[in-house]
Amino acid sequence: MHIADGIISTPILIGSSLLALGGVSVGLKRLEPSKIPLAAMLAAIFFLSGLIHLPIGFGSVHLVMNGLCGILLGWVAFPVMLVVLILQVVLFGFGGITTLGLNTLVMALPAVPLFYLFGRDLPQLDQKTIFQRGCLAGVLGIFLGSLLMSTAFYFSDQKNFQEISGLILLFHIPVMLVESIVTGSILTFLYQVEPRWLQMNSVLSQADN
Amino acid sequence: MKYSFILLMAITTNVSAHGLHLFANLQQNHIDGRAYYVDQTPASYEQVFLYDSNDKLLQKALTSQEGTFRFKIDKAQNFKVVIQSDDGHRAETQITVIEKPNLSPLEQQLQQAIEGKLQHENPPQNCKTEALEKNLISILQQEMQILKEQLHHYENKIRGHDVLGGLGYIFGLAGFFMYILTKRKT
Repeated sequence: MHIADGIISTPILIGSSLLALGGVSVGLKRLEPSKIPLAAMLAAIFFLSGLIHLPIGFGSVHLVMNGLCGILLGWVAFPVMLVVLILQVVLFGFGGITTLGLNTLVMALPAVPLFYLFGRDLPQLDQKTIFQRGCLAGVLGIFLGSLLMSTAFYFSDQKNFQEISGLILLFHIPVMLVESIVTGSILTFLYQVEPRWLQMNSVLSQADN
Repeated sequence: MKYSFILLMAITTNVSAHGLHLFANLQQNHIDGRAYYVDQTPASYEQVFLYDSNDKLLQKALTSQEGTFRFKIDKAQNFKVVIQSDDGHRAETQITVIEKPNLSPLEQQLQQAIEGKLQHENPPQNCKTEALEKNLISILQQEMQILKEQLHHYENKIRGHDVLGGLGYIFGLAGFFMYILTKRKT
C-alpha cells in the first residue's frame, strides 16, 4: 500500500500531507505516557508487517495491520504510522519521500473510525465478540485504505493509473482476508494473556470525553 | 560499433520504491533487464517504459513471467527505464553512458577486437580466431550481466541489521517521548 514518488500529482500530495499533519497533531495531543508502550509495540508490528509479502497473481502485496493499530490506538495511529513510514522509506526504500503524507493518510485515516466503531468498549466484551470485531477491523482497515489509495490514483494526472485504480481494491482482497484473521487472533490473544492492553482503549476514550 | 566498448563503461543508477526493484543492462544493440519485488517475486506482465535523456518516451514493453524484458536500441545514449505495476508500485533506473576518450593500449586493442578491426600479425588461414573472439566477447558480456544482476540483488536485499535498527529507532523514540511527556507532567 506504499505509494511511490513520481506517480501522484502535486495538488493531491500537498493536500494529503496537510491532512496527515493535522492527524499527527491530534494524535500527539492524545498521546499519554501510559499509552506509549502500546503505541511502540504496535509501531513495531506495523514496521515488521511491511516486510511480510504475499505473492498475489503476477505481483506482490504486504500486510499493513492498520486495523489493529486503529482499534487499539485511534488518532494516535497517525504519529505511529508516520514514524514507521519514515523508517521504512529510509531503511528499505518503501514508498517515497514526497508521498510520506499521502501514505500516512492512506494507512492511518481508516484507523480513526475503526477505533470509534469497534475499539471504545473493547474491555467490556467477551472473547468471541472481540475476535469478530478484530476480523471486521482488519477487513475494513485494508478496504478503506485501498479506497483512499484508488481515489488518489484516480484524481492524479497519470492517465495509466486512472485506468487501473479499480484493480487496486481487487489486489488487496487476499490481504483483507489474511489481516482479518491475524487482527482477530492478536486481539483474542491479548484478551487471554494481557487484557490490560485492551483497557488502554478506555484511557483513550476518556481523553475524548 | 565504436560504442561497444563504451557500453562496458555504462553505469546504472537505481531508484526504486516500495520493494519493486528494476535492473537494466545496456548491451551492444539492446537493453536487457529484470524487475522483481523485494521478496524476489518476479514482476510479471508489467509495463516497462524506455525514455531518452530528455524524458521522451521511446519504447514500451511488457515483462515476461520471469520479470525480464528487452528493448532494441539504435545507438548508445543515456536512457531511463521505468516500470509501473498495476498495484501502484514504481521503480526506475538510469543508464548513463560514459565516454572514455583516452584509452590505454590494452583498451584500444579490446575496442578494436569488438569492432572487428584487430589486425593479426600472422593472420590465420581460417576465420576461426575471429569467430572465437566474437564468442568470447559475447560470453564475457553475458557473464558481466549475471554479475551485475547478482550485485543488484545483493544491494537491494533487506538485511537483518536494518530491521533491528528500525526496531531500535522505534523503541528509542518511544523512550524519548515517554521521558519528555513525563517530565512535562511533573
